[in-house]
Amino acid sequence: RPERPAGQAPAQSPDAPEVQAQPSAPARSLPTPESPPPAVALPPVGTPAEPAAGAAPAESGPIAAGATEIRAQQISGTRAVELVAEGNAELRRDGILLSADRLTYSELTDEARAEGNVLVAQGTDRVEGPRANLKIAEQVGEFEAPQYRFSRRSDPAPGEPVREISGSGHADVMHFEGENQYRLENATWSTCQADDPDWYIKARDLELDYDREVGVVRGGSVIFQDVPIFWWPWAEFPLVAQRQSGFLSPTVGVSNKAGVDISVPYYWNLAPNYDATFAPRFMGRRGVQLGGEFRYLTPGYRGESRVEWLPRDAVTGEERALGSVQHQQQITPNLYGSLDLNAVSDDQYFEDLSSRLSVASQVNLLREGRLSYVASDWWSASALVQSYQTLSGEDPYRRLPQLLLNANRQDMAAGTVFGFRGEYVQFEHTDSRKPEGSRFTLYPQLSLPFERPGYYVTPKIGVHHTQYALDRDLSGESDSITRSLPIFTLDSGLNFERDTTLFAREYLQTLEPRIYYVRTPYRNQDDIPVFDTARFDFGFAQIFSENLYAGGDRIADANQVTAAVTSRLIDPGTGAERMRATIGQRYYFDEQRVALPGEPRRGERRADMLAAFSGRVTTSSSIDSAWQYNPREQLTERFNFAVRYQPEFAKALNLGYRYSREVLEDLDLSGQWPLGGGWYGVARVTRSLKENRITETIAGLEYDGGCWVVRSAVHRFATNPDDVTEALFVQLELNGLASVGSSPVNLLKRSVAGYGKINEPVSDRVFGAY
Amino acid sequence: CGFKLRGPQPLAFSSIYLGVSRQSDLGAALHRRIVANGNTTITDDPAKAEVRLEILRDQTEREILTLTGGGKVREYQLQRLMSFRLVGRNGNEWIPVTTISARREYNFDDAQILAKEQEEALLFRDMQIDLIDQLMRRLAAAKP
Repeated sequence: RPERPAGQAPAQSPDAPEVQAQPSAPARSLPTPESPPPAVALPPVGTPAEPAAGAAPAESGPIAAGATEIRAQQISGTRAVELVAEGNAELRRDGILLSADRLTYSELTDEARAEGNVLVAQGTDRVEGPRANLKIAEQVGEFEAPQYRFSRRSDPAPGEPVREISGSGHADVMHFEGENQYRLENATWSTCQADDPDWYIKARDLELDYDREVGVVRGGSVIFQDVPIFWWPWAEFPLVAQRQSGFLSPTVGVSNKAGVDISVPYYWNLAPNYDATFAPRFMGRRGVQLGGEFRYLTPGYRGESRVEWLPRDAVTGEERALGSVQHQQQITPNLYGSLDLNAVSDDQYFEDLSSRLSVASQVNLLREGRLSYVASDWWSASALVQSYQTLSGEDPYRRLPQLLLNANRQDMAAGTVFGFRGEYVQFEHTDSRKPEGSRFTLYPQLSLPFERPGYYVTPKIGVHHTQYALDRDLSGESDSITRSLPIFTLDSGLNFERDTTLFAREYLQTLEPRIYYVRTPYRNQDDIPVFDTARFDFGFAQIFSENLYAGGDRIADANQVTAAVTSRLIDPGTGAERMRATIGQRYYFDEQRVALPGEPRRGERRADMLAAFSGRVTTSSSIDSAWQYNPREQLTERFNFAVRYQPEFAKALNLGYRYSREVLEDLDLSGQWPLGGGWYGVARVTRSLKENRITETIAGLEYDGGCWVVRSAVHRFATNPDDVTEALFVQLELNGLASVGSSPVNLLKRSVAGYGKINEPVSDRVFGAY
Repeated sequence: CGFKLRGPQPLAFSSIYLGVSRQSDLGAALHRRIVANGNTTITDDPAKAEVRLEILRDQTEREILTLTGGGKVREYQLQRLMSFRLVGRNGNEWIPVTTISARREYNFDDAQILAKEQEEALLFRDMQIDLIDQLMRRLAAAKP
């Protein structure tokens, strides 16, 4: 019976009563020697007991909780004083088994001395060696020259599989220091199953704390293939591969921007909920950068701060720095505050010093403070102060401040729903040629949702009222503008179903027409400046919205209907969706009058047509595609097509084509495939057919060594029209411990759809958990 | 062609505890759908409900989909993930932990970051409706 770590919920069995929240194994709170076990099932003294199997797993069997059972070929001594058991001697209590050639047990002190082929087993945990002294109930004692193996199950995030992590090794002495606590001298630890592990931790002093699920190493090093790869005086490492690993190892990479790139982090666990990392980083081309991170977590507040400082960049000759603060705090039970501040010394900072695409492509760095007040479950208010550091292009407006009030009341008379949005924003801009001012919006709405299994109808009426007070109006027309208009929408849909068969499988097929009507009268808005508003992208979610624009500076006049039909194939057994196809279009009854400055007004009645198809076409292939067609000019505006073939875990091939008229035309090929002998290849090429160049390339090679993985990837991507970043990532990952080197895993996961991390199984190894 | 208007399809449980506020978008939509389905009542007391819905994760993600020639983000892909399970009164699982997801893509422009923030919020709301549809399908197929 495998033991579960403390605090983890037991597996649910269908007939287990709900109250059984305790592990199903017998309680391990053993009676202390001061209060002797209630029933000691000792065989008659001096009579040989039946020989028991030597290495049988611990089994509580018929013994009462807290009772002790001793078996051996020969048992002698006095009951209640000292018993000597010889020949396949076994002592069992509450799931603990102690066996040896010779056992001496003192009932008075609850102490057992074991000699010769000693084994202590509990669940799947085993410690073996020549000699041990152990107080059974307290689990205190010493084990001489033990070989050990402890297994625990991870407590995964929902949807992720449970993993069993085994740590094993040997030591000169193992001290049992109470339940779940072990301290070892001159010890090794490894997750490799083999007797001769490919890698192990070697430590002068090793603590295994299975309550906190961390190991603490003093004077330790990691030995990989008999070569010490690094050493540190003190470190914590996760015993059950928790995500919040305290263990940090050097990262090594090469890039054309930084040169050889080595970072050696030092980690301090200042308190259980405070930690700090100091990370000097050596860049061959640029010099030594100092970096640090400080994190804290308490019930009332949490946060992290980060600084990076390069005193003198050898390429630019300048000092370069980054600072970042994130803090979240619960001020009262209803009031939350958060702070997010980010700054870099210069506009090229990320381009030059980061080889990670998600970082290098950043343009706007957020600087904001926010207060949120959640009064009850139906209304909330917030205050925001926000600006950005913009590294290229034009600065966005600053919101100094934005005040928001949102309400949503569901259970009104006759099934009506009341919605309210109130907003006050003061917009400011760094450029003095731009208008500034405040905007005050009130938008109360009433809707009447009516829903039946076969159809639904939701009429909604709202009054949108806005008032502008412009401080720096450059048009000089007026400094106060009021706009007030009613907005009516009607959303309705039908649900049809039928049973159908496709590829010899039964499905439920749906047909779901939806019609959405919007009526908004025209108000002249040409005098209103554009603070936070842009036209929505053209997609299904956007054509079913009441406004053409995101943001509050334009409310488009509308007399329009959007119609769409969706059909899905649903697995009748689980309700899971296998395929979906949608087609839709918006029709305008009137010509467009409201527009953004410089935006051409629509003359036509018919908007573009949208169509989409996605789903698993066969058990090993899926298609995802979308098409935007312009019926007036008979042109494809946008077309995306992606097909994925994924017959097995870590076998995936993707072909993607993305076309957006006059904007982009990209062809994407990516995949992961086993090459045999534990080797895997990963690659991606993105070619811009419009610009006629390759914009992103990834080539990677992985090797699975059983309890370790080495993975390398070369990544090349465009950072501006005539510059690229090239980086080489190399990572050695010791399963269950940590990784050495820059991790290309996130890069590969992002870039290669269906990428399977070869040493990390997922619950559905082909399509993931969903 | 065999399509019929969907009739009432009673769920296999007579009462459910949702564990999300009825005033939230998610809670309100689930409430309406379940009531519309017929015989199931929604209770505020998990001990009295025949089944309880546990939403274990409701997470949003954003990833770069395409880049401009200048190395800036041109399109993002948004993903919303929801993990849930349906548990009976005596702890038996009607639906084991299941993750459902919805994805949307959209054109991004750093020069319009304030507007794009609101467009993103619209897409996340749209994905939530999509997830509620998927969740209702799963609940409709649940058996003890």
